[in-house]
Amino acid sequence: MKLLSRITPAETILITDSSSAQLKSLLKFTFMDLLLKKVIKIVEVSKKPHPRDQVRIYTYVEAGKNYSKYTPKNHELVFLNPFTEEESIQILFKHFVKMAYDNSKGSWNYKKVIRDHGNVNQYIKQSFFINLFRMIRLTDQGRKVQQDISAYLDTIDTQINDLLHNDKKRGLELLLNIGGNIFLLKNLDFELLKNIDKELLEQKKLLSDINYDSGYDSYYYIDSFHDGILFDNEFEDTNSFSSYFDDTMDSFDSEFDASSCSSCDSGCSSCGGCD
Amino acid sequence: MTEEQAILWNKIRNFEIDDIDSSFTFTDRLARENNWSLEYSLRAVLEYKKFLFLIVISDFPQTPSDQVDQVWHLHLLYTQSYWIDFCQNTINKSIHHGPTKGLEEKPLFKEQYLKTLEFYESIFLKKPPKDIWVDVDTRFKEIHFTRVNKHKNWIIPKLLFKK
Repeated sequence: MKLLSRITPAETILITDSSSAQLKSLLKFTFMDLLLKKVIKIVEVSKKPHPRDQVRIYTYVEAGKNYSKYTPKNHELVFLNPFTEEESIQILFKHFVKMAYDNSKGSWNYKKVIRDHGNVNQYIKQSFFINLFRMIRLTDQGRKVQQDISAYLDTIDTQINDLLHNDKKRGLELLLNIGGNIFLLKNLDFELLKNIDKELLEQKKLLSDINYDSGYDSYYYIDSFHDGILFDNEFEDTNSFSSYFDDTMDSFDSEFDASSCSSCDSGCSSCGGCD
Repeated sequence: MTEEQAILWNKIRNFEIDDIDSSFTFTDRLARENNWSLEYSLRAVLEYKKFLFLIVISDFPQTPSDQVDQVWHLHLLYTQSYWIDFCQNTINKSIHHGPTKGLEEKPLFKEQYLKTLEFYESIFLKKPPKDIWVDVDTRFKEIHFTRVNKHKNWIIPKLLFKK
């Protein structure tokens, strides 16, 4: 299934879930895909902001090693814009997620940005009424592709762990063919990715080094698998990472919108002071 | 940038103004109070840090853009973060904020602002971003700000024709 090597997880979700695609999922999988391609990276830093405070871990997002050579798609820019202006900027994870959420300008707008990219626009209908009712409707070709993608991902999902144990070459081929869409697999054991045959990857890497700017992202995925770690950070697995992202997104809705200042101990609702 | 300056810049760049335990951080407040996007606010904070760095390493006065000045004003309200964590514990130097004394100082600040832009470029080896460090004319023309209660007032932008 060649299409899956060209489209990002967000584009895949838009085709498979159409109108019911959730903004949170579209953003989360785009973020994870950018991490996997090392366009961005997560850095954890221990800091003691004040002498009387305890050491705390700050999680930042920075431009990754592939940032400067990567050509982003429009829906990835909600994450990458600040690095365009200043590549050295470090952004707290929480702010980074919130910034992307703000930049997406809501679910419908973000879906439109994904829809309008050349990769998928032929599969999605457009008309005045469809836009008016903010729907995603597939063309006949789109519905066929939707079925093909779902069937293909289901097949890989049932086979992939066995293949990574018993036929690593075939397993690797399948994973490289779906790129960042590996995050949409429910059964993939990400620990197994560390055991992928390095020699095979070396050959692939040499080939893709020549063609990394061909418009396909396989170069970045090979590079990631070759390094043997999925993310350059402390997250133990993709599930813990995924829930961290979800928790951060959910926290925006319930945040206390503090409009007053407070002093250290007095607990009053206006400004105050302390030594 | 000398090696010593690079070390200092790293310290200032890594200084964290935001309290990670707070649900409404310094940057969130900066964005809300100035009606800026979070992305713009994050960038403005970085430019503010650059400005403070320029102050520390220079022996002549620096003048910020209004955007950078707004970050500075807000940071000054977080007294513990500004005076203790930043000035005392990070750069070991007190940086005071000096508001203008009136119209008679306008030419002086214009000149200082231009020098700051030049100094920025010579140190960071790139031009300051134009949306945060505006040109000198705009800097000293668009300065009529006021605090508006949005619960009681609408804000309607003026129609301005670009030259």
